[in-house]
Amino acid sequence: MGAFINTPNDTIIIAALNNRFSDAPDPNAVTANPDKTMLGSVRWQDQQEGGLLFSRKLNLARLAYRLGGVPTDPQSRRRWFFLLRRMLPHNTKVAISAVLNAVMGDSSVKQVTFNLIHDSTITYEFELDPNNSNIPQTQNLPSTANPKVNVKTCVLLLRCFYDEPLPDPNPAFEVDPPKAQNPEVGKDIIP
Amino acid sequence: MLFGGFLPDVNPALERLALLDAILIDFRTAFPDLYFELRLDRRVINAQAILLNGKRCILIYGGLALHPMLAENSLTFVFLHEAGHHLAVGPRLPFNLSLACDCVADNWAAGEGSEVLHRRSGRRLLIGTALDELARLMNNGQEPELPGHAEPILNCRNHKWAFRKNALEAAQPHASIHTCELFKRETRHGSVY
Repeated sequence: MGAFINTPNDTIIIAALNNRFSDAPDPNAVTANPDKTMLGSVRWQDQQEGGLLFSRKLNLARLAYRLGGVPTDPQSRRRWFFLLRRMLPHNTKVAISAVLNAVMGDSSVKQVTFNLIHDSTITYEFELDPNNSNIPQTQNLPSTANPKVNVKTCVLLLRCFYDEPLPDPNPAFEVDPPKAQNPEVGKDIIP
Repeated sequence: MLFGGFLPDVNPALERLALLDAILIDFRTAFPDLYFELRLDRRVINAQAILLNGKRCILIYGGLALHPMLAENSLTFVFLHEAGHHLAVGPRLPFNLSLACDCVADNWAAGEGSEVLHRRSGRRLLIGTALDELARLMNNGQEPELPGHAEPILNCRNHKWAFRKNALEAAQPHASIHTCELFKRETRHGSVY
């Protein structure tokens, strides 16, 4: 992220997501999947689910749980899920899901990176750059697997007008609490 | 920086604005290939190096730029650290290989970066003063925390201000760093479905 003051929860989320969508080898890749990269495994999972991984009710909190990218301490986790469930504008959720869905179908994209900046010029509290576009924004950036080589990289940049600490939802009063059968209520959120 | 600190209010005094303008001019003179931008209306207490639209940008947010505990030298160090992310050679951030890692950026700021800044703009960094000013900020609740972890999970000194300050005070800035502990940790993990 390149921040001066390290904020561990942001780092955990971004590092996990960038790793999950990277072109680095996946040590747990499925044998039948010919693409043994981390992103290849996400594409494989998407195929197994009929191409619906990023289009199921825009539930980004579930996606964050399944793909990694969740703070480890409970309070920060609740704040993060509250942001994903309740604070992100609908258009932003649609844009994030659409861009990731497009990446699933475009094998020329070798990795995805996630980042955020604070920006007072946007019209929503949060916005996917540019203007909640549903089209992947790509650049040639260093490969995670081989940093000496640049590869086509989809850049997901979240612009944040929101300019205060994330709210601290009380689990008892959370508007949209995790369902009991959802694993994100358990202690082992990242296996 | 969704989980960072925020300054309650950003009402800059004229003197601070003049200081920030002077620093900005010096950095634009010394490092013309970088794009420096003050975002004073954002209260987040931080600064950021990032590639935006192919430009190597440095964003200094109001919460940090206007923080009452910081002054000329600490602000200069912040600008240098962020410039170091773009210009320093060495280990990369594990989750953003376009940028130098934090320890390398610190080293570059206190060493080569401050020398280039002084040579090209005349601005001199007093590293001891900068660290004293930053210590006031870090000791006032901006120290990064890792809730849920009783012990440091990383050897990366950037995750603990005391280590970071000690390394800079101990004249380690010119020592080379060959590996990023954060990088080693992150690249160990595989699928977590």
